[in-house]
Order: sequence, then C-alpha cells, then structure tokens
Amino acid sequence: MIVRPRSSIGLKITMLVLCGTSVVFAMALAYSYSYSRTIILDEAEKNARNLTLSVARRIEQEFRVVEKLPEHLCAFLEAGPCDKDTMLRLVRRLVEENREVFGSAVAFEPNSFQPGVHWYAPYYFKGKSGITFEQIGSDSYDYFTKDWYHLPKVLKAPVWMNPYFDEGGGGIIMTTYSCPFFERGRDGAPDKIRGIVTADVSLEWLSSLVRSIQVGRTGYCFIISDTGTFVTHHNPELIMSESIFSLAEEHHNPALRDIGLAMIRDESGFTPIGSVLWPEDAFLAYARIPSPGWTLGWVFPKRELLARVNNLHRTTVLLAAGGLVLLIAVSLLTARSITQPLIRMAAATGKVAHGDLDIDLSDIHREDEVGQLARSFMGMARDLKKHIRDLTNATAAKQRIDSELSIAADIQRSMLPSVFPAFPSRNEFDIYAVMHPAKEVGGDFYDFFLLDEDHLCVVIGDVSGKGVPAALFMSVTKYLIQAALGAGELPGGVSARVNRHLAVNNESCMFVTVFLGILNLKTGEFLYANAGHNPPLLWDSTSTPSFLGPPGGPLLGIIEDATFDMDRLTFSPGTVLLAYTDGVTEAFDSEGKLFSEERLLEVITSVGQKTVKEITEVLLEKIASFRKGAAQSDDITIMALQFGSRPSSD
Amino acid sequence: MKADPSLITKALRRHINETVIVVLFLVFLQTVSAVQAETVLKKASFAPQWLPQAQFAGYMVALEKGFYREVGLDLTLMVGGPGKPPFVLLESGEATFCTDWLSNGIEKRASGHRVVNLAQVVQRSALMLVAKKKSGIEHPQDLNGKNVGLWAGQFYLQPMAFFRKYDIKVNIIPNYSSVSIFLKGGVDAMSAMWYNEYHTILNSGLSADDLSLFFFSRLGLNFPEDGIYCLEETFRADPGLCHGFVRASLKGWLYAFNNQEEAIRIVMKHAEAAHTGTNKAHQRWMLARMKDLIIPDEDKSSLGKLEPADYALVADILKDFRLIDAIPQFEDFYRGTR
Repeated sequence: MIVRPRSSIGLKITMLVLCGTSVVFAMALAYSYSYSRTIILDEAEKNARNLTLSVARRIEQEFRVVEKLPEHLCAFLEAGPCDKDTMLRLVRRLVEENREVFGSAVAFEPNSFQPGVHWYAPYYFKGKSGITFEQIGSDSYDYFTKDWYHLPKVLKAPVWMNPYFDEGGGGIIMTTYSCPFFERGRDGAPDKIRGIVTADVSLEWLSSLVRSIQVGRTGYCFIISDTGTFVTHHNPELIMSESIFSLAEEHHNPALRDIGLAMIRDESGFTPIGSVLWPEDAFLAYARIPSPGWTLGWVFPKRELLARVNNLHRTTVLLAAGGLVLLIAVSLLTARSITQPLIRMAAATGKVAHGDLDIDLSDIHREDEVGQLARSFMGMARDLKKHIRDLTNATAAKQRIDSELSIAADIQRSMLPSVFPAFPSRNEFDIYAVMHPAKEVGGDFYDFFLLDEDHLCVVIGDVSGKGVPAALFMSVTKYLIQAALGAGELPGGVSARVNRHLAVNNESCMFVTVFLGILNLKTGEFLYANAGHNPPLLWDSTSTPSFLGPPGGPLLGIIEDATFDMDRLTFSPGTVLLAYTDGVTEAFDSEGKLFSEERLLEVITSVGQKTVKEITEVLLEKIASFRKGAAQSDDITIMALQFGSRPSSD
Repeated sequence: MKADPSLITKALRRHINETVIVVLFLVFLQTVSAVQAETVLKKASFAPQWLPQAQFAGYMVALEKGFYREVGLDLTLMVGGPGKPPFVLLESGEATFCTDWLSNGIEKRASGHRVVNLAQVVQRSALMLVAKKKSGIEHPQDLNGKNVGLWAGQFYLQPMAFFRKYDIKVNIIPNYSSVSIFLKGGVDAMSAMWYNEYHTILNSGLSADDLSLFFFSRLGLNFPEDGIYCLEETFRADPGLCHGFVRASLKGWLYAFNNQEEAIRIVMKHAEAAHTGTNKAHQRWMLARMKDLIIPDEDKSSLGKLEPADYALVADILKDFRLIDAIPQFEDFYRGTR
C-alpha cells in the first residue's frame, strides 16, 4: 500500500512536534536574548559610567594640581610686598619644576607693578633652548584685551581658558589657567585687582591619556570643552574646529544637540547616539571633569557591546537548531517505528481482503498499543482461518445431511402412495392425496390400501414436530397401523393398539394424531376412528360439506391404555370425504392470520362438482394464495376420497 | 567678524605668510599664462577687514571662479584679522581695495582721509545685542543696570545710540573679542554679529530660547556694514578698474548665494589655511545670513548700492556723538552705482 508522504502520520507527527518545539525554542530564545541583552546593557552602562567617571576624576586631579600653582603664587603676591627678583624666581621655578606647566606669566594692571609702567608681564616658558624669559606686554600685544587676562579680571575669579592651538609648540593644544590677585582690604576681602597669574598647560598629556584609554576593541574617548568644542578626538579635524553642536547642525541631528547640552550640563550620563560619532549605532557614556569644566565622552559601538550577547545568542540558536534536527530524527524514527508496523498491517489487511490469511507479523515485538494491534490482527487472521475451516467442514457436513435428507425424503415419499389414479382397475371410488412437507421430510402421512377386495382403508396422520424425528415416528406409526390392520383390528382397535405400542418407551414424548377409516366398497359402510386428528369434511350430492364429528379419542403415544371409540357411517354414492392435517387450517398468511376451518369449509362449499384431484388442487391453490408468499410453517397433507363410480373421463 | 584672538599667534602669522607666498606664486603663474593668453592684467590687492570666513565669501568665490580676471584684474586676496586695520593698509599702499563698515568710512573721510566708497555690499546691520533671559532681560529696559559687554571702536556706536534712545543705563564691560565672557557669566548681554557670534553662542550650548535678541537694524539703527573702499586717487586714476572690481565682487556674491555648498568649500579652504578653527556648519550659517544682509528682502535692485538715507542716518549719529565735525558730501564719498 502506498502512502503519500504528505499524508503520512510520521511526517505529520514530526511536523507538529517540530512546529511546537520551534515555537517554544523561539520564545525561549527571544526571552533569553532580550533578558541577557538588558543585563549586558545595564552592566555596560554601569561600567561605562564608572569608567568615564573615574577617568574624569583622574583628569580633574591633574588640572587641580595645575590650578594650585598659580593660586599659590597669587596668595604669595597678595600676602605682602614682593621684590621683583623673588617674583621672577618664583615664576621661573613654577615653570621649571612642574612638567605640566608650559609657561607662566604674572601680568600686572597698568601702574600696578610700578607707577608709570603700563604693561608689566614677565613670562617664562619652556622654549627650544630651555626656560625662556619674555616680557609680553607691548603696543602690538596689549594683554589687557586678551581673554586670559580680561576674563578673570571681569569675573574676579580664576578661569580655565578655552583650549587653543599653541603658536610656537607646533600645533599642540594648550589651555591657560588664569588666576587674578588682588589688593586685599583689611578684612581680607578682595578689593582692587592687581594682576593675573597664568599657567599655560599643554594638553598633550591629556590627548595621550585619552588616546591610551582602550575602550573595548573599537571604542574611543574624547573630550569636549564647556562650549562643546572638541578638545581631543581621534579625528584631528574635529579638534578645536567643530563642537558637538556644530556636528549636530551639520548632520541635521537635533538629538545630538540635546546630547551635547546634557554633556555640558549634567554630571554624567549614558545614552544611545545613533551613528553620528561612529559609523554605526553606538552608545555614549560621559562624565564631567568639574575642573576645567569639560566633559569626557566615551563612544562605543553597540555591536561590540552586544557582541557577547550575540555570540551567546548565536550559540544558543545553533544548539537549538541542532536540537531540532535531533528531534526531527528521533521523531521520524519514533513515528516510523509506529507507522512501519501499521503499514505492514495495512498491507496484510489487503492480503486478507484478497483471501490470503497466511500473514506473519510475529516479528513486531512490541508491548505497546501497536504490538497489541499486531497481535490482535494476527489473532483475527488465525481465528478467521479456523472459522473458515470450520465453516468448510460444517458446509460439507450439511451437504452430507442435505443429501441424506433428500434420500430420506425420497424414501418417505416412496412410503406414501403417490401414483394416481391409485387403483386404475377399480372405479367404485376415487382417491387423491398430496403431502407437502415443510422441511425435506415431514411428520404428516397418509395411506390408503385395499384390505381385501371390498374394503379400502384410508389413514391420515400428523406426528408432533417436524423433520427427521417426525418422519421416523411417522414410519413407525405407519408400520404399527399396518401391523394392527394385518391382525384384523377395526379402526378403534387399531388406534388403541398403535397407541399402546407408541406410548411404551416413548421417551421423547412424541405423539401422533391419526384418522383411520375403512370403507366397505360394496355397501358404502365407513368405519372410522379419530385419534386427536382434525375432523375431516364430508358431503355428498345432497348435503353441504360438514365436519365429521366425534367419536374420537386422544392422540396416540401419550396415554398408554387409552380407548378409542369407533363410529360407523354409510356413504351414498358421490359422498366425498376430505381429510387433512393441521397444516391446512393452520396455514398462516403474511399477517399471521390462520387459514381456519371456516375458510376451509367456505372453500370446499364453493368448490362445486369436481373430482377429488381437482378439489385437492383447488384447496392447495387457495392455501397458497392465502399464504401470499409467507413460508410454509407446517406440513400440508390433504387426502380426498369419493365413494361411487369414478367419473368416466378418468 | 571676530575670532578668538588667542588663535592669532606668531605661528599663525607665519602660516599666513607662507600661504600668501604660495598664493602669490600661484597668482604669478596665472599671470604668466594670462599674459601669454590675453592683454596684461592689472595688479590689485584686496584687504578684507577680518579673518577669512563667509563674511567675505563673495570675494573668495570671485577669485576662485576667475571673475576678477574676467574684468582684467590680477587680484591678491589678503588675509585680514586683528591688528590689520584695512584703511591703514589702503593708505600704505599694501591694499588697493578694502572693506570696512560705513561708519568707519564716513569717519575716515570726515577726518581728512581721502577714501571713497565704491559699493555698499552689506545693506543691513548684523550687529545686535544678545542677552540672557536667565538674567531677566526680555525687553530693552531690562538691560538697565546690567553688565553689557561691548566691543570697542565703531561697534560702540549703535549700542550707545540704542541705550540713549531707550534711556538705558548699563554697566559697560569692554569685550575684546570672544564670547567666553558672555558664556562664563562675566556679562548679562553682549554685542554680537548675527552671522558670527550669535551662532557661536548657539553652538556653545545656549539655545535661542535662552536668549533675548536686540537687532539694531530693527531698532531704527540700521547701519550698513561692509562696503568696498579705495583711495580717491586710485578711483580717479582708473575708475574702470574700481568698477570692475566691484562688478566681479558682486558677481562673486551672487554666485556664492546660488551655489552655497561650493562657496562653503571655497571659504573653508581659506579659513583652514588661516587656521581660524571654524567649521562648515558655522560658515554655512554665516553665508546664509550674509545673503539676508546683502540682499535684504530678496531685492536685488539695490545690490551694492549705498542709499543716501542710510548714509545720512549713520553720519548724523556720528556727528551726534561728536565723532565727526562735519558730514562729508555724499557725492564725494560714494562713487558707486546709484
């Protein structure tokens, strides 16, 4: 039997299992991915914040150290009079002894250092040939108009200047810390500004520091000033040219502007920044460097951050895929182990349907339902085979019985006189009889024979039951009757004698009704005895048919010492006696109605002048038409005797 | 207009000089080939009043696109900046042409310098006061008693006239260049150029919403700014040369307005050569504002023209402030298209 792959149970089960498992896997994977992603992002955010904060603190410390230098010098200058040489020595030492400091100036207000001196600003810096001195105030360099001087003066507070490209240092970014010093009032409060002390700081160390921070594999750090200008960045083109705000404007990215605002305003933060500061999606962590008020930013690509999650996810997906393949294999094997026996059973069923019961499924060794089914199936085949064998035997037996029955029927038929006219040489009477058994052999019988030249004996009987036992009982009865008649008994005596013989050893409790009469063919005298049999009909040319009333006796074979009355009639010529068995009056139609004695009487009354054969045939025909196809339930026997000369036509 | 002076250093100047040499060399090469190709080009030099930026985009573009050569000029574009007053360069002969504010031009003319205005390029004043709303400044009167950072010189004029007009007493803090003093809280308001410092402030972390703006051009004090000047002798000697320079410059401006990205590239080239530390976003803003100032209300009919009324307004205020004794004749002063 061919099963299309798509409709195979195995494939269906596999597909269902696969779908279900895939859904479960997918859900679990999605959850695991999103959860681990959240964890990693949280962790990354924490790390990034910590890292940026710690780097920012470190940078701040460096700046704080630098701040102290001019601040101390200011404090010293504010403390009291200081001669020029001491001051110059102090400034020089400040530059000399602090590697971070590129140069330092003490710039005085006009006339503040010395009356009549407008510009006085000694400046020491690390020149090419060591510590170099320069007076920086002049007509062409009016330091009072410079931010580094003007701003702290206006603000009356130290200021970190915006970073700038160093003029002499070959493009090094510098910044300046400018600290004002005052003439202090009596209460120590700043009164009148006297000048500004500066410390120029190269930001080379800052750039190296920021560059040295390895953030992930590809991330980078940068610093923006308090106006958002890039102070350090791995793209040198941005440094001092672009600010985070100009980038936002250039890229039409208002979100970046907001990020920039947050960067110069907030202490620290963590935010996704899209692809502005990086070619792909990236995150930005930032922390303010409170002094000089700049902000450290750390950009790192999202992909790198999520690489771990993605690796984990990839492995999980691969495992899941492997699991699924394994599952498919197992599922297919399992399904196959179930369906293979089923397919074989289906094939076996086909064989059985074609009559081949020699099927062998004994190699399906399974304890489960399939095994059970296979065993049941084999059991069924085995039983079927046995049944067919039995049936064959039974059929043979039945055929044998049938043939025997058929023989028995033949024998029975041969026992009944069936050649008509029965006495072609005698014309003083006419007799006709039929027996239609319900089965092959029947329990009804009739007989007629000449006891001598002038006496005709007629017998009709009905044995209880049907079939072979009835036939046998009938044969015995017939034999006993003939034996009794042979002994010269008259009808009453015959009945008594037969009854006695039958009743003895009648273990099967069978019985027989018998009507027996002896007609004197010369006188028309009719002696008869009725042992429980249906009363025959009698009529002649002058009278209508009527049932022959008593005498009668009990049926034969039950009561051992029963006596039977005998009566005597005299037939006038033309008298017809119609004897029958209960198969006639008790014939059923299809609705269960009886033919009945009334109907019999009615049929016979209306039959008119006919021969006995014709009367019998009419009656048989009426019974048949009454039955309307209903099965014959009992043997039907009719015997008709007409006294007087036979019609000449016969 | 202005930039952080800390950028202008010796090294920078050396760079500038190198650039000038390179430019001169290139110009020389061009000249040689031009001489071979056509008639001899007249040499001229032009001194813009400030550092290379989109404020001078028209001239840079005109040079780059060869518009000066078209009018027979072999032009040298000088690098302006602090410490290089254009009229000084004009009188010393270093520059044939220069740009400067109208107020400066009138003052020079009134004080006996024989300078003439060839074209009034910037028609509208870009000078403004930018104030912090956080300092409680929303209206002119709110400036009373506030620290206001003002640039010196001509930049003083409009603010002072404005304060007088609105009867405002402010505490003036001189500002020499940068916006740091404003950003760091040294002043509550400061003078700024719309095309430059205002945008710098916006790109330093302050938003337009944080700021109150007072445009002098809208307060009855519209002083036309950058105009093209030369010495009267130069004009007398060769009016064609002067008109040619103006024509090519205005053509440069129109080209720059119509081809902004190309103009920005040209400007950035000059700015980077001068290490001004600027960026494209800033120059793009500046060029867009220059268009608003040079062709106000999209009206090209008055391109480069000096209106007598504008002249009168500026001259009157100069006289009021006693910066000039007498107002020079408009016809003597202005030699451009009418």
